[in-house]
Amino acid sequence: MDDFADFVRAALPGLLRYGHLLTGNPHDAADLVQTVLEKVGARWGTVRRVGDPLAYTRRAMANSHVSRWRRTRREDLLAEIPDVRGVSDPDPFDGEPLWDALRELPARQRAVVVLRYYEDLSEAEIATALGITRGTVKSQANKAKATLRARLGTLVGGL
Amino acid sequence: MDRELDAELRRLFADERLDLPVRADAEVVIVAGARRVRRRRRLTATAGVLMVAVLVGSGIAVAANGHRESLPPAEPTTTTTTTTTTGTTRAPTRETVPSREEPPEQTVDPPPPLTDATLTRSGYGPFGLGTSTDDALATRLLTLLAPGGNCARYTISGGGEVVLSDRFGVVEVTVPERVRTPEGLGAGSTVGEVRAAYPWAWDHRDGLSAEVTEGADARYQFVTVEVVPPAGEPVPETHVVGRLALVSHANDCALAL
Repeated sequence: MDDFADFVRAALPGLLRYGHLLTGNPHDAADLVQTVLEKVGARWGTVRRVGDPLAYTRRAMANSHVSRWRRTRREDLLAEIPDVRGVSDPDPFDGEPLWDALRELPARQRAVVVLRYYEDLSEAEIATALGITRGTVKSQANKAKATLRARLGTLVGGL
Repeated sequence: MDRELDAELRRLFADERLDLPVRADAEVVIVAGARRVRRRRRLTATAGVLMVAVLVGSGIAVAANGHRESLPPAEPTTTTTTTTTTGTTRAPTRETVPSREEPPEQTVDPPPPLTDATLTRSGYGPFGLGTSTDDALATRLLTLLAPGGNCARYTISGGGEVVLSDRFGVVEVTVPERVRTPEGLGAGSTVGEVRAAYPWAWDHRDGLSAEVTEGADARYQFVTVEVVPPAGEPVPETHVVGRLALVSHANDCALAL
């Protein structure tokens, strides 16, 4: 477990930042990171043997967040309900039009945007990471960007 | 327009305000959590082997469980119900608050253990979510379990655990196995039963979480005793709840905060 502790120490700041992007708030970010890292640590030998533990952890976080969100809101409502949950503290980005608009996206759409623009993954890589087809990646990305453009257009008069 | 949006997204994602503070002992908390997950997995695998042995003894062939070969001796099931899921710590001095300058403890009888309290949507016995740290400690029912920074976990005399936040007071109560939610769910319930009672429940932290009523500021956390599915895979309906907690959304005792 020693090198798992080293891995956690080194990776934690970046993973929390990534979790913040995925979930839209600090509380859920910390919760997501801890939950996924505990599972990664429990099978550390295998994860380390099979490949890049950091990449594995990041994919697992995206997946775990989308999956949790999907179970919370039924799948047929996916397109309509924003991923906003009760938080007690204001987020440092509250009031930033783009952040607010991102936070109102369904979790899967936001995950696609984060994987594309933060992780710089290709459509095919995003499809593999989230277990969806390339067509779905494309349609989710298009929907997300259309929503973002519309929201920002309304809020700040065009982008 | 598309290019401008792309640029805005990249700019936002590079903003340093996205960084979150990391507790100094975060990796210790996570390594302990990983050990707990692994222990539970092995425990369940052991139970699986016993089941196989029984079935084989009855002349029934059963597919093997992949974890079998590395099994440790069986551990008592109570280990699955007493470990923490959130990393919480607090300064040890907190424990001494009730004693102040009054002399000896022997002049004060300990209160009777909490054995008849029920779980409501807002708390357990004297430990309502949001109850101040001082009021919670004044019950004299708490014994420090995990000390540290601005959060700490205590055991309750009579069973269960409480997490106290300096800022939010009681933020989490884990109840003894005998205690159930007002809807009758608790240790021994299946994941399917939990989902039926709380259709808004989601997979979360080795089990399920469900807001106490839809949109409420607190949630029930049901931790299962079985093998934890890989991240992203749903918890099977047949898995069984081993531990029940009530957790406040007004909570700064998560890992980094």
